[in-house]
Amino acid sequence: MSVQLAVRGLTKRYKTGEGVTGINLEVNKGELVTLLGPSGCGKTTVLRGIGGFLEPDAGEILIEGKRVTQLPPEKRPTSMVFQSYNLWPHMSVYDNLAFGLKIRGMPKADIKSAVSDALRLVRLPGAEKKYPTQLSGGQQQRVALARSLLLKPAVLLLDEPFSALDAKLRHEMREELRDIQTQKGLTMVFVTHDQEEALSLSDRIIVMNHGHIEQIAPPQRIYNEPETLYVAQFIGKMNFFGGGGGRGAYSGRRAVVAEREASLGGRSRWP
Amino acid sequence: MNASSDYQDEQGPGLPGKIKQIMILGHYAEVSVDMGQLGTLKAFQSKEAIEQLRAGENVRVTLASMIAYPND
Repeated sequence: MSVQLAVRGLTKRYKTGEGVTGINLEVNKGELVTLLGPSGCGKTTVLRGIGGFLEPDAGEILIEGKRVTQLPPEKRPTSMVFQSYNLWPHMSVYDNLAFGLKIRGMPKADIKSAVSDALRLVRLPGAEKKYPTQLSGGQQQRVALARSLLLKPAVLLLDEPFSALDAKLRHEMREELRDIQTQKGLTMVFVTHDQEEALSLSDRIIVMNHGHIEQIAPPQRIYNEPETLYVAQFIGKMNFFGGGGGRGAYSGRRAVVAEREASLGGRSRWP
Repeated sequence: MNASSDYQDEQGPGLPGKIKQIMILGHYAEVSVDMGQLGTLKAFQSKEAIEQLRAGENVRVTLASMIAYPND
C-alpha cells in the first residue's frame, strides 16, 4: 500500500504554550485515519498543518511523495470539511458546489453532471436549487462533503464534521461517510474528540495528548492493548488499581493495573 | 500479568466482592462490585449473564485481561 500522506517532525507552538511537537505520521492511500484526543491536545493543529491553514515552526508535509509544506491551502491537493459547514448562504446548493469547479475552468456541462453525481453520492439528489437555510444541519454537512469530494482531493481532511449534529444523525452520517470512503477509495484524515466515533469509523486511530502522539494503531488494538496509561484512561471503560512500590515485576516503580474484562461468576458463600 | 486472574482461595477461583449496583445499559449491564481494599470494580456483562444477580450479593470476580503501566 502506498503512502499518500506523510507528516515528518511537525512542530507548531502557539503563544499560549499549546501546540504540537515532533509529530510523525503516515497515512496510506485509501485509508481513513482519525486524530483523537481531548480539546487542546493538538489534533486540529495537525489537520490545519496538513491543509496549509497554518505555518509550522518545523517539519514537513508530503502528499503523494511531493513536499507541500510551503504551499497555500488552495494549491494543495487537499480539501477540508469543517464542523460549521462553511456554505455560502446567498448561493444555491448548485452554486456552492460548482464554485470550485468553475475556478478550475471545468466546462459548464461537466460541472452540471459532476454536481448531480456528487449530490446523489451524498443522498441529496435534486437539491441543486435549494439554499443552505432550507436544509437541515445534516443536509448542509452532506453538501459540504459533496463540495469537498468534487475537488477530488488526494487527502480529504475532516475537522469534527459531525459534532454539531444530534446523536442519531451523527451515527447515520458516520456510516454514510465510511460507505463513500470505501466506495471511492478515498484517503481521509478525520479529527474527533469522540472515542466511539473514532473506534467505529477508522482504519487506524492516532491518540493525541498535550501536543504529542500517544499511540497509533487500529481501533481494536487501541481498545484491547492501550500502550500508555493515558490511552487506557481515554478509551472505553476500564478498572484501574494502584500498585505499591517495590513489588514483584515492577522493580520498585509504582504501577497502575488496568483491567478491561472482568467476569462475575461462581457465587460465593463467603459472608 | 495474570497473578490476580489465577487467584484462588478456599471459596474457589477469583476475587471476592459484593455487588453494589447493577445498571442495565441496553443489551449489556454494568455491575459495580465492592472489592474491599481494592475499591470498586465495574464489570460489563450480558443482560442474560446477570439475570440471577442482585445488589448486595456476594460474587467471585475473575479478571480476564490486565495491563500494567508504570505510574511515575
